[in-house]
Amino acid sequence: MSNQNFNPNNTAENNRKIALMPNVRVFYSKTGRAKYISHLDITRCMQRSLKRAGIPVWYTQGFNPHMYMTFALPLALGYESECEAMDLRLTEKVDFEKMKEDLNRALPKDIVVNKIMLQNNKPQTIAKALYEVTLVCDDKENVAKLFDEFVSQDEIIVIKKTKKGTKPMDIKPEVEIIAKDFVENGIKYTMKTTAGQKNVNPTLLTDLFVEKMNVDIKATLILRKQIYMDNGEIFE
Amino acid sequence: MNIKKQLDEFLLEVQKPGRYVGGEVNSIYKNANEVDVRFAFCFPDTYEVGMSHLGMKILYGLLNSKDYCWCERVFAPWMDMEQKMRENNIKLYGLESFDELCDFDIIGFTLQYELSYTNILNMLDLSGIDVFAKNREGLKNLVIAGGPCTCNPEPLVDFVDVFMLGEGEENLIEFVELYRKAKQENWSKEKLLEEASHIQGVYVPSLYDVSYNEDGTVKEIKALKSAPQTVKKAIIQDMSKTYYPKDFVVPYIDTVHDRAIVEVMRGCIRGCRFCQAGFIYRPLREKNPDVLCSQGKSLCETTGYEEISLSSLSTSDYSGIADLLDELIDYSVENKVNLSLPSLRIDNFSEDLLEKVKKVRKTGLTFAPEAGTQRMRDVINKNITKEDIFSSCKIAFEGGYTSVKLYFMLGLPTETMEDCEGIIDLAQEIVGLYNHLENRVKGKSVNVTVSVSTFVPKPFTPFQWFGQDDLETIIKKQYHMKDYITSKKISFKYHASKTSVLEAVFARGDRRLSQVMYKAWKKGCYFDSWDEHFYFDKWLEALEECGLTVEFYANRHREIGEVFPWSHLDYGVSEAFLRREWEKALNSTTTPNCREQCSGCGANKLLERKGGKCVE
Ligand code: SF4
Repeated sequence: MSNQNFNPNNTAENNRKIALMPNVRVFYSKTGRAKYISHLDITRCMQRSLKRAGIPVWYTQGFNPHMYMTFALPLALGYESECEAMDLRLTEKVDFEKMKEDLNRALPKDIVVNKIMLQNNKPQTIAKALYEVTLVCDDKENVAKLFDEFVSQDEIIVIKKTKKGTKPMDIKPEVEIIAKDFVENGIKYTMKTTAGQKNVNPTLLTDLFVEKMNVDIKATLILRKQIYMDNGEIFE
Repeated sequence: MNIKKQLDEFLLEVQKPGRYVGGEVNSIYKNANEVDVRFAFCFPDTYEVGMSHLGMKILYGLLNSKDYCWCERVFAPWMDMEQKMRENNIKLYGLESFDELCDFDIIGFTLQYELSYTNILNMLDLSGIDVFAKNREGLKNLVIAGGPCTCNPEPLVDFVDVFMLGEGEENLIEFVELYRKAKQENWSKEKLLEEASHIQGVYVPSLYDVSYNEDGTVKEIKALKSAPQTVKKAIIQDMSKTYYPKDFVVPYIDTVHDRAIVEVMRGCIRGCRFCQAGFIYRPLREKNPDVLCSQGKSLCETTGYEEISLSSLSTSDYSGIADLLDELIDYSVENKVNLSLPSLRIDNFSEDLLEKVKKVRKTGLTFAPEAGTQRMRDVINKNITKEDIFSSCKIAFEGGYTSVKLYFMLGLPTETMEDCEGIIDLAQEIVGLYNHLENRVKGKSVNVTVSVSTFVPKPFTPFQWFGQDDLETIIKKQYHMKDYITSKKISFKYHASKTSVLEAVFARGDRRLSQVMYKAWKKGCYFDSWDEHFYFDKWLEALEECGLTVEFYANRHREIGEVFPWSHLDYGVSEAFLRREWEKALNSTTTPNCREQCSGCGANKLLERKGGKCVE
């Protein structure tokens, strides 16, 4: 065997090593102005931030290499969140605390990394998400009464858009109202909805409410607080 | 009233809400109470267009580098957003602070193209600020404007207090400092304006009195008070030493050009006679390649951009191009950054250079021969021959390219139908060249895109005397060319020329057009550069109501010796030189470029360099 074959930087060898590197999960919050930024734009923003921060992210191979990056539960436009999860693969071991600091310096101020850890569970395990939904309104008592009435119906049928067209769906079993608080600008409901493969966004419920009950809501503010797995534990 | 909370009520109902919230990486936040001057940098077009613009990035960084000044960005909201804002009584605001525009000291617009002028009126109106300069009292909300179109800003004089001619990196700071002093010492607006008129490049239109001849042409332009009789443009002496930003604001949303840019030089040695930029940015000033490399790297590091481009009027004329490309290509490969090179001229597009460029560039090839026949190219002084074009195409095809884009202009001085046919002939010959090439990509056919725009005569060019082809003639030429195409491999693209007509009216217009602009805007004209929002009929109505015509401004051939509306503005190039070039054009005689031989345009006098030589 000639020693030409011996090359420590052989890409195939390198790739095999990197393939053995575990996926890293970055938890971040997206609040304030960033809620108006679409998921696609957040993806690009993350790529550039990782680059600015000098994080050794693994690029997919092939004709058009790009950063390998997946998001556990993409957030709808207009939502804020305290628990977004982004999975990456790195090409070398890094100190997570330092990576967090570096990344936070590089990110726009409305996106903040809270925690970095090894990926424990697959995104497919996601089953529920917890939201705080604030209906901004003046006539709080009346809106609350109407809303309570609305959600206590036996079934709540929404027309869901699918790839094949539209189909009716009863979201009553998919939404669990946990708390109701009167706050300065309106009423805040804490609710848990089905998430993951089958995804029920809280605005499905609130938009239908506004439409059907013809109430005057100035804005619906939504904050995702937590993501849960099918076994009821917090997704990590 | 907190605008942010109000925005929550409807931002999700407008297209691309990311345009209206700021918060991007590298945007700058200061405490409004700790600065002396609040500057609103307004781009009179959408966020996506404005955020792609290099000049704005430079001046945003520059102004914010001063502790006493906070510069914020403002763009024209798209119509859906404007409607929501008007419904909810929300005023136009700065993207950084969300404070209303009327809270700002200086409101600065950049004039990049004539068809954005009406957006200025609309943006002022949307801010609750009176559009007429004479109605705005005091120092607050002083409206200023800079950019290439200020070389004839006359159509805007009713609305703008101060125009900044030329390059702003130095005199804008001088102006802002004067403003700061005026504010501290409680000057009147009149005093500030008069003092400002003594700064090089500062043009205060209200200090000039314009009278007209009976035929509507300008009779005389008289300076009032202590304003100078002619206003000379501001110019940067040493490009390597002048301010350049270390970072750019990185937009969240997709913009037209979203990448790091290094400006390799200002000015151009070529002197293509149709090209205003080629004259108003004279003389050529290059940046040192080392400075460029470090500026480029710094930008990539601070933005995380995946693309870097070299910007100038003619990058392949940059004398340090080989050194620069060598280093930047290595850097970009190593750091997974794409290098893109726009506006490469083809006459010095060597095989070597192409080889290097090919390593990093995957997109198609574009050439701008501008005219189809050699005679016509001589008239416009575009020193490219058919052989140059063919040899560049041949190298490119052999290197694997299968599509070529060619840019041309229609309606050039002395143009005949044969010249128009020449454009198509050239494209057909390129198709032929590809088909007969042995080492082209097998099994793939070629695509030649011919893109034709309508020529607009501009001030400070040798064609400033030329009357634009009327609409009918242009349309006739376009149709003829379309019929003349035989090959299916050619895609022919041309543009509705009504917008070019209006552009021609404003480009060489006078002060009387302010009224026309006001009337047209009142009729609903703005975002004129967006085809779907361009109402030519309303513009014609507005002109008619003011007793003015398209013919007078756009199509009329001007006499040598006529006083132009911009005759009191000095961009370095002398009228005598432009006249010589005009005469040479009519004789199809070319002029050598500034490196081959100086043609004595006069721009050298703008430089402090010893001996007044332009090209080292
Ligand atoms: S003075 Fe001569 S070299 Fe300088 S820009 Fe004019 S023509 Fe070119």
